[in-house]
Amino acid sequence: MDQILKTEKLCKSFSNGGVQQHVIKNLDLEIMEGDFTVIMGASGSGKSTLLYALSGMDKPSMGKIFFGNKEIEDLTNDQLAVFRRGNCGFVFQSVYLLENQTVLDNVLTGALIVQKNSPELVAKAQDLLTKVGIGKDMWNKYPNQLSGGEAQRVGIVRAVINDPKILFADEPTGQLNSSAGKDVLDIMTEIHKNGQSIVMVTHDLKTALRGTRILFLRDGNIVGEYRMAPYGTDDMKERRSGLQRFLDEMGW
Amino acid sequence: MKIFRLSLFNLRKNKKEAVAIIFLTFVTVFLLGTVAANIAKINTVFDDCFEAAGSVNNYVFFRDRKYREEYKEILEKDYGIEDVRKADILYSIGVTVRDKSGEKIGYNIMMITEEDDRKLESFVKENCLRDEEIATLKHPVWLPQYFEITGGYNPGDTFTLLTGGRDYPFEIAGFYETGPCNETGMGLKIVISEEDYALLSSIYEEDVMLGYNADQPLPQEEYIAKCEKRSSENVSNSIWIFDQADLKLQETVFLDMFMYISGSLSIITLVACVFLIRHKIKNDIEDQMQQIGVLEAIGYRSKEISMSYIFEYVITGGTGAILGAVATVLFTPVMNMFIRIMMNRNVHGTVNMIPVIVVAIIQVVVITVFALLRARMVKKYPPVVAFRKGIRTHHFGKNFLPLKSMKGNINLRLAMKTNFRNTAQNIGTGVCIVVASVAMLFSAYTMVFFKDGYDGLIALTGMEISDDSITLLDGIDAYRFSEELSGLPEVKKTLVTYNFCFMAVKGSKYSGTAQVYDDFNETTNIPVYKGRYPVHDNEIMISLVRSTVEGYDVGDNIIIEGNGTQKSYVITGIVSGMSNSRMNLYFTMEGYQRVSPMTRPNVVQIYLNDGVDQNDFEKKLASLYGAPVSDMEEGNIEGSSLEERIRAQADIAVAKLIARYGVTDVDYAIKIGDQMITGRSGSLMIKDISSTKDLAKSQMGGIGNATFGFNIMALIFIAVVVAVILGIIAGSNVRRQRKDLGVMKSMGYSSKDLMTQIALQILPTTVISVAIAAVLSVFVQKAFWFYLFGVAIPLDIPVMIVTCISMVIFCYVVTYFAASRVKKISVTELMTE
Repeated sequence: MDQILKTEKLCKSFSNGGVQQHVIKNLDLEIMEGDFTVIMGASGSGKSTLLYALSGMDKPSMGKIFFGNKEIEDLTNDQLAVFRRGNCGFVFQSVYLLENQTVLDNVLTGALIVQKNSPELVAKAQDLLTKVGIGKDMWNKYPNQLSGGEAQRVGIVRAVINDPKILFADEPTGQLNSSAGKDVLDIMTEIHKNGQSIVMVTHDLKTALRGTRILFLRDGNIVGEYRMAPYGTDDMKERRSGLQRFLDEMGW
Repeated sequence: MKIFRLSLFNLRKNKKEAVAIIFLTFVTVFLLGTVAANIAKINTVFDDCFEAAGSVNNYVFFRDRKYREEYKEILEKDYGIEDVRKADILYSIGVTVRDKSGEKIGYNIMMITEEDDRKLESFVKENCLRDEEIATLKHPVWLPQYFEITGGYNPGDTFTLLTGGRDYPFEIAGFYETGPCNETGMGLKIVISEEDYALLSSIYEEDVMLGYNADQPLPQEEYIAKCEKRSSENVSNSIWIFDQADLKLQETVFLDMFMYISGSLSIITLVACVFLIRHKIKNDIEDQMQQIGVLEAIGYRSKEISMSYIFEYVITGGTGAILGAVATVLFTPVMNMFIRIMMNRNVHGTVNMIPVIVVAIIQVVVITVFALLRARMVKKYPPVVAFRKGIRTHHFGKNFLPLKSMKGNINLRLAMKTNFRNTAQNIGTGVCIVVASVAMLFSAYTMVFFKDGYDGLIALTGMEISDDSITLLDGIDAYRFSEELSGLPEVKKTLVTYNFCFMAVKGSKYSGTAQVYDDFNETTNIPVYKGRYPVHDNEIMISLVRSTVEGYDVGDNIIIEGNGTQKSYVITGIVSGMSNSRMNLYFTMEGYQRVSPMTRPNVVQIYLNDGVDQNDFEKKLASLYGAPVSDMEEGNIEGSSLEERIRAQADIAVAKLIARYGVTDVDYAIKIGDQMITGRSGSLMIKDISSTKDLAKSQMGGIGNATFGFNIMALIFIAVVVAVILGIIAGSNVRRQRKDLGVMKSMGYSSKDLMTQIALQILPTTVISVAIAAVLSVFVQKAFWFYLFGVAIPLDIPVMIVTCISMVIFCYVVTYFAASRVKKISVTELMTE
């Protein structure tokens, strides 16, 4: 597998009332193409901060980030925005669909900043929506007419419509009930099976089980790594107990 | 108290918006307060000057040596007016004066002695030399304050009159305060010594001014009829009746114009302020919906929450109003100076605080009422609805411009989608832009019209403004003289006309000044507003004001009175013109002779080719046709040989006979030794040369430049207000949409993309509003100029197009940069929210 993302001595600090808080400390990390990387850790360990930094949504305080061969930490905000268009997709915990746009327009808004409008693009969006269970009858609905699970599925389609190199997900099931959460995770697993690289932050064991590589973050650094076979290809019981053991070792 | 603290919290949170609203309320109160306080002052200043100068308040001015003692008796006996004073005055239109920089400028000048001036007023001396200094002056002159304030003269300076290239220098003893005759339209009254008066009375025409105090204006038509009946002479052409109110109207018209424009600008800021407050309260409530829900949940009533928003605007509006009122007071010396310069009169006194306070209170009340009306929307959100961010039912709104059928730029499409959803905001923004654009278009039309100073105003006079205007001696054939002049290489064209004279209109209290030409197609500054030029002797054109005030239209008949006769004319056209009290009458040569058969044209107006020096040309005229007799009478003997000197002396003697005694032909033969020198008056043709252009410059130059400058300031001011409005709208839209904007950033939309979208959002509203404003501006422009000056400024389509396009671009650019706070939005902020 090729390396797709790499950090060198990555640091991120925040200033709070004049006091420097070092959230990420000299972190070295490699993300490989096709991996489903899950970042776990206690609250305040720096999971989300790391995700933002990796995805170019936030700038590191120090260190380097290589996305493929491109160094991105020195890009301006607008350059980062352009960089994200083709390279990153995002799935948020709170979904964040554009409230005044229909389901289909939410997806196309993400697509049309990268691609020209074409019947093929619209068909692709509709196809993806259908695949995640958002039928034609819902394409013209507005976000407030959707359930949380439906909205998150639309969010996933919006995130992958441009075939990003990495799909970043921040607690994608955090606000969903278990049934809706499972649907969302099934979709993400399916996407991963199709070759999509994913980096996901979660503190939920069930969610983490979908990954192939678990990174445990403590005090701003990776303190443990655990690898698993792709979801559904191994024994579920062993998979769960293995991950549980790893997490126990990490003191989770 | 808790609610008050919530208001303060909101204020601290949105400092920029608070400052903008304070700015707009400040400007509104300042402008409106200044207008309210100074409109009254303008009236007072004029009346105060009359009182301080001890001037009588009614005047009857007889020109052309038409005065008879019976006319004074009519005033005393028929109208019961006591104490009618009679003063002799030398009056001349278009006297050339050399200004302080040495340039020539034309003025209508009245010359009077101190003794006669004291009959009409108290002759109150202002800034002047010491008595012992005055005593040493050879040709002392007392000037009205116009020359001190606008002319820039000082006591001791030289004041030089020019006629036909010759200088008549006076020494300025000082300035004096006068009621009438301190403005360039009617004329500036200068007080000279008895000796100089006697000397100049051979050059300038001696007229009579009657003055008296009365509460009621004189019924003009009736009085003229009585005079004509008593003397069996035509008087209507040579009489000028006016009172203090007429003069005040004339002198304050431009100041009033500035006040009206300032008042209009303040209305723009008031509308903008009200709209912004409504817009901001709505956005704040939507933005703080969940907090409102929490407050309601813990027991706050919606009324109390509404009050927190109202307090916010009472605080900002009140602060702005107080600052505006204070600024109005502090600005008083500047306004006093402005009024002094515009009116050329002393301005004293402090600002009248009552109108300023009233304006400030009204402003705060208006703000409070509109804030109250808007803040009531809190009621619509009980706690549960507020928790859901105002969502009561599901969104079933129409999906405007679906992206699947999109063509072109995504930013444009998204901007249009957002725009179509914000109807209420569009209407509010539209109203502000319409009002601001109308004001901007009006200022732009006016500014461009006056870009060359007085040229703009000259175009509004509705009368011919030639380079030189030659008044011929009686008996000289104006047509033959005109033909000869046309052959000179310096001359572009000539027009034959009559000297300035009044004509009475039957049934009208307004007499009119006759503008007489053979062929109006040859004229350059008499544009027909409606109809066509008169061609036949029974045709006439009238002014736009007469048409409106007296209800005449093209095709109507109008009866002109003169020389004891009445003649009916068909109105063929209407002319827009502000000269001569806006009551000009336009005759053909034959048409004029119907009502004035004994007169012959005696003026030739000359238009010089570009680059010709007027002074050189006047000297050339003198060498060709003899110097104007008005110059020669003074006794300027030139020549090297004895014969030349004798001829010059003889010419002077002939000129005196012509000018003083109405002699038309003189032959002379002088024998010196064996030599006989003969000559005749035929070599003298010119009575006087004046420059109408110089006169127009003196009358209109200052106003033209002031109007130009004022409109530039108005344009800048409107631009600032529009920038503030759009800045607040864009800023508050960014705040309201910050979640969506953050999400879009996460998708890869750059800050520039989002700024472009926000700027494009207001584009349709701007384009529609500016288009509406363009149409409205035509009516506003027309109404303003007509009701204030009785003229119609031609519609300048290129200026309209350029201004409209500039306005749209300006709005786009301002909104684009005002939306730059989108740069501060980070996706991280969303996730940690």
